[in-house]
Amino acid sequence: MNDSLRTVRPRGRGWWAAAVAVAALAQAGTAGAMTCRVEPVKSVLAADASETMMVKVSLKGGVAPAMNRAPINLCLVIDRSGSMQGERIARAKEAAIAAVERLTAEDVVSVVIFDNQIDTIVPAQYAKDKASIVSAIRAVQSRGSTAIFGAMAQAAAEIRKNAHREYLNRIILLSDGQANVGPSQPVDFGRLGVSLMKEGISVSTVGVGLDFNEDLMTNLSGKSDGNSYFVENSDDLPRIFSSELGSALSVVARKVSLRIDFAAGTTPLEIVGREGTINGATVTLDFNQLYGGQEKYVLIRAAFSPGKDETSRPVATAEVRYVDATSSRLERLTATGSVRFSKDLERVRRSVNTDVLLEAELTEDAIATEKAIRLVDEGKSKEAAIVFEAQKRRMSTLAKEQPALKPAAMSRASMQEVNYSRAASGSFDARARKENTRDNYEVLNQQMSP
Amino acid sequence: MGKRNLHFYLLLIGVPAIVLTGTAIYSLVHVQHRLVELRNSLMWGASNHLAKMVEERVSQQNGQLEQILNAVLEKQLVESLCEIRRTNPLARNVFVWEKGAGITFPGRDALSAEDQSFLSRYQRAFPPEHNWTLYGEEDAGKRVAPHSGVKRWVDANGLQLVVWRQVNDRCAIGIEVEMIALLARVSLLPSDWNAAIESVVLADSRGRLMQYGGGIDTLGRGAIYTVPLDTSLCPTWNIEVYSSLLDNRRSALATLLIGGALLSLLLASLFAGGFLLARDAARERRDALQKTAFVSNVSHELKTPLTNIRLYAELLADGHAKTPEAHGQYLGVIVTESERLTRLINNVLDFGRLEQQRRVFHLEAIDMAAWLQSATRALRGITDDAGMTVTLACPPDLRARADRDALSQVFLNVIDNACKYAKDGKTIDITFDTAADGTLTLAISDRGPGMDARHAQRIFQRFFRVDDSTTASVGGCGLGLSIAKQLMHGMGGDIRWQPRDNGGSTFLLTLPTDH
Repeated sequence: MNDSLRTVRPRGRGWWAAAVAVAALAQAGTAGAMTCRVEPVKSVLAADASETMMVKVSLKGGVAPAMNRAPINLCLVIDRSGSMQGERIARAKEAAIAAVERLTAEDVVSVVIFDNQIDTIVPAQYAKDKASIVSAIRAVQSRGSTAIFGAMAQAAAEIRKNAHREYLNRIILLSDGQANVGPSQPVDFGRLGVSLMKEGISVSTVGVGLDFNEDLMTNLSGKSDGNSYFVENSDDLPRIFSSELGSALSVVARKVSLRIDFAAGTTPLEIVGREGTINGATVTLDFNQLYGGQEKYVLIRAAFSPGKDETSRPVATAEVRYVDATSSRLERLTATGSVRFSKDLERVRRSVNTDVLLEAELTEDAIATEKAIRLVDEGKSKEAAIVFEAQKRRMSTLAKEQPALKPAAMSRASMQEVNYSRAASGSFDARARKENTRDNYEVLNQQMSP
Repeated sequence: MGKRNLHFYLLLIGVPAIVLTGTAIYSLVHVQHRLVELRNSLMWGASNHLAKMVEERVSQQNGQLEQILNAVLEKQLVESLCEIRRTNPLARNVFVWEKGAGITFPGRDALSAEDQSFLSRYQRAFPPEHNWTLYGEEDAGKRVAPHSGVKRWVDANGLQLVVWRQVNDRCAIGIEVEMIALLARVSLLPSDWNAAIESVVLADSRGRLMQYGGGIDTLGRGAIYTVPLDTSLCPTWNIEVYSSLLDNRRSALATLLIGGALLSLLLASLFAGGFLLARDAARERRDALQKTAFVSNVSHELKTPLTNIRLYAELLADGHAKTPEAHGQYLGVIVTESERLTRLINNVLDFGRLEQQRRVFHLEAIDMAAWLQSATRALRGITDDAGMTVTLACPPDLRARADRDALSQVFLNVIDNACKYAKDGKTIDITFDTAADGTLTLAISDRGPGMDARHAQRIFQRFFRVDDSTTASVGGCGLGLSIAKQLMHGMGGDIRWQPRDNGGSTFLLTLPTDH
């Protein structure tokens, strides 16, 4: 990942610009822990014409309180299979120990290690006797094969021991291998992630080296609203763990459920890049948590029926229900968004919310990239190259049409050009696949960079 | 020991040894067999218990879902079902079925990828005419309406479950169970399971491994047991048990090895013990015989001089010695016989002391030439009586480190023997030799009949007397050379016999020299 690419991430931009642009039309909802907004790509639509357009509904976490954070219920799941031997297991242990050291006596921690055998070396307990927890981690040695599924089942069981409490539940899975004992399909792990998410358990995955199955890892973390990391060099492990724990400790809201009711005249067609439910005019989605300063959003493609010149009408009302991480109280928050109709096409053109446009474009780009990766997997490198090429052109066009988005769009276009040449020459290798998968993940899940 | 005796002993030891080993191997095999059986039955029990646990867990989860379905209000079907799907970890999808229309929720539009995959799964599993409200099952001639239940089918991804219930006679609702979440909640390994040698696996009939407990690899191993789960609950699911212990070929080999080792050990120890006992018994018997011979020898040896002394003393007392010459001759006999008696008794006493290791040696430097002169002179009575001449070849300044009395005793015993058995040779030659290692050897050679070389060692054993014509006519108690050997050893030297060239015997006395 190069630095220029980092700049396209949502966290790096001033969202206030968008707020100013739509201030007249949208009413943002703000409570202590978060702000909610409903923003269509264009705030002014051509009058008397039907149109299909993206609507962004975003949640932005407020500043995490330095004190009185919610206790965390953490389970570290560490691969000790034979391939972890040497530097990797040593760094993983170091990282796990550093994570344990950051916990306070109110937090709960458990440690599960696995090869083909699964051992709970630290059963769920308060992080009081850190010395004995640390010595249990230190004693871990590498061996055997990789039973990720069994280890996850065990980790979930450890988390469930304290599931009734108001904890932030988190599993951190560290592995460098393919699941080769028990279920091993990425889709199975995606389903497991969905199920864990419903229990309020997020799984963050840390893949080490180039041999792990990134689809499995991203499916698991993506569907459970956790983070996903790819670490080629095990030296980065302590930093990744620290960042992961840091973000987990900065959670401002838990059990976030979002319900978007579209107003008459606007019909939701598709949720882009996320999983949610559309039932008539209602879209529902869940997030396990929102971190301090993090923006999470959902993009919905919606059909707008024609409107008369110089009228405005509401697009949708978003309702957020969540548990405030500090007070553990259930909170509710609403926000609405609306559009105007105009015959003045210049006004329509100027009403584009470039931030929302960029996010929509990047999301579509990530989805296209995922599709191209699947084509490469199927041995259809030529077809994949065509997709990459098309994305490159699309990003270049975006850069031309929207000067404000030029740096981000050009950087993405050059990335797609690299992908194109790799796919065309048949050199789209494991590293390229992992890097692209990670970038897609960060875009689609609005993951904050470590 | 006679050959027949040997056979008897071998039989006496060997037969019980073989019987014992046979019994031991039999018991070993039997115990092993019993252990395997016991273990088998324990593991069988444990795997059945596990199967029951899995079944219970599955039916318990299904039951919970059924209860949740029962609580769904007819007025808010879709909302309630969506809430179930949103919050219940075990609910993968929900659906509403209506008579004539089929699946009405999820609807036909705005379908998510998961909705689509559910509908295609549903269509593959259930024909369009599948009626969730039809009176289906027949029980004892009566049609029974199943109002709710669990529908099971197996597709490419394995077992799938749908928990359903009738809402009314036109409508039914259902939950597709999240199988992976159900599997994740089936924890397999009981805490007392020995994970190092056994593994237990939940697999389906296609051999797809779903849950795994234990430490041994199942690859390349056959399951010892396959316990199928209740087909009405979890069809195609099996509990499989793998073990690294119950490998019959290996355990048979182990039994054979242990049995073989046991037999060899038993036989070896029995034979060794038997051999030692037999040898001890033979030695005891020989010692007893030798002691009897010794007593009779000693008695004879004591009696002969005593009889002579008494005879000549009586002759003197009765005044038979008429002349002074006869008087002197009689007294001479008495003196000689007394000396002989004294020597004999000294030997017996010495022997006793040596046997009890009470003899103390006073080692000193001895000038061999001077000592030999005086020792030969002291023994002149004996040698002269036997008609022997002693020749000495002793270099001057040769000094040995020895106990003077002990050395004289050895010398006396060897010379006495020569006089007794090698009279006919007429000469005793005494020579010296020194070796580089600081020992000197005194060789005493005669020209007698010599001795069979096979007795070379045994002549130094106590009570031993060579049993031939030479010794038959000469008295002795078999102690002289035994005493000589012990005395020489006591002084740090040795005594050996070797045949002399051209007939006769040589006794070699080695002693440390004195520097």
